Amino acid sequence: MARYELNDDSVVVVIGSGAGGGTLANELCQKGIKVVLLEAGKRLSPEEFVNDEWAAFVQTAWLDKRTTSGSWRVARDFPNLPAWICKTVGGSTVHWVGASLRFQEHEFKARTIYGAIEGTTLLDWPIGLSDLEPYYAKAEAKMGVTRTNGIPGLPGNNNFKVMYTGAKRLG
Amino acid sequence: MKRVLDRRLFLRTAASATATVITTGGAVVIAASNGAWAMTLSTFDATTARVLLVMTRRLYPHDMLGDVYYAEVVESLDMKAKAEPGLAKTIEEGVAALDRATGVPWLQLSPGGQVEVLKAIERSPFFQMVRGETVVGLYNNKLVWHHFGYQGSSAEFGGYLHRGFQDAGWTMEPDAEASPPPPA
Repeated sequence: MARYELNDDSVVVVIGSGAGGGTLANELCQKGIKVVLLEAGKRLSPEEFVNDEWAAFVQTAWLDKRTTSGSWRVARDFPNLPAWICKTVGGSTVHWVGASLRFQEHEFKARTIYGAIEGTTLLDWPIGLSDLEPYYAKAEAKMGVTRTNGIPGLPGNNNFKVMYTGAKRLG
Repeated sequence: MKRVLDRRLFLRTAASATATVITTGGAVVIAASNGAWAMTLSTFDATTARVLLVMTRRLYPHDMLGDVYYAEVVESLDMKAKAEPGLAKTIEEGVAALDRATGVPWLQLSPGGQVEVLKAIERSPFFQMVRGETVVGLYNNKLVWHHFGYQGSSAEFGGYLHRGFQDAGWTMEPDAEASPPPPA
């Protein structure tokens, strides 16, 4: 592992090795930029993964106590429950299967389309799909998102088959 | 727990047995009515064991599950209470509060009446602790998975893809665009 002087201001420090941080660090390195990538979790090898939901949760999730507030149900019933995102090298891409959907145009305008919802601060996004499209395209290419760049889609599981059947029957 | 049967026989017979709490030689024991299994507790008195056995079922009711799975949650709580006196006290006070709620011992209420009392105390540390222990202890029991038709870990059998991933036979069959074939 390379070492840099603490006062070397040409070094970029990236926090987190997941989808965002990992991709960014990789790009910077390919341009020859010095990068320090900080990751709180340890590296897990494929052999170490446990095929058991609860054991995998204990092994991989952020077990650090979370704090939450307000009146929502999670704050009441599970105020300290860890967030089920992965604390490991690769972050949550470790249990990502390659499917990432783009927002659709109407989803940038939730306030306009659905109207004000009492007790919320629902807003439209200040940008639209066209603003993000070039970045979507870049990220999909870098990360190998399914159904983009010639990558096939994933086979549908039972949940998908139920949804598919319902959608078809509704027309 | 002392099991006197192998797994297959256990699932067929003991897993559906009802449980009774008995005191024998000073020890509190949760036992299957047909003698297939027995758990000796170290901390709880018989009333506490009876209340927790019913309470765990009221929280997560499944007619298909015999008492043994709820009893295993009580056994686990009993061991934790032995190690943590604070926990034992929370449970003791919680059980007393259930009985105080209506003036009638909680166990003598109808199932619906018991649920009403539980709803009234659902913010209490006692309720939250029992709920938390039960949700993990009950649904993380591999024998319980069997009753729900969940086959468990698939990695050692070559993976989930060919072991239940898309075997729902009653749905429409998606075309290849909607559901591409798995990679070879």
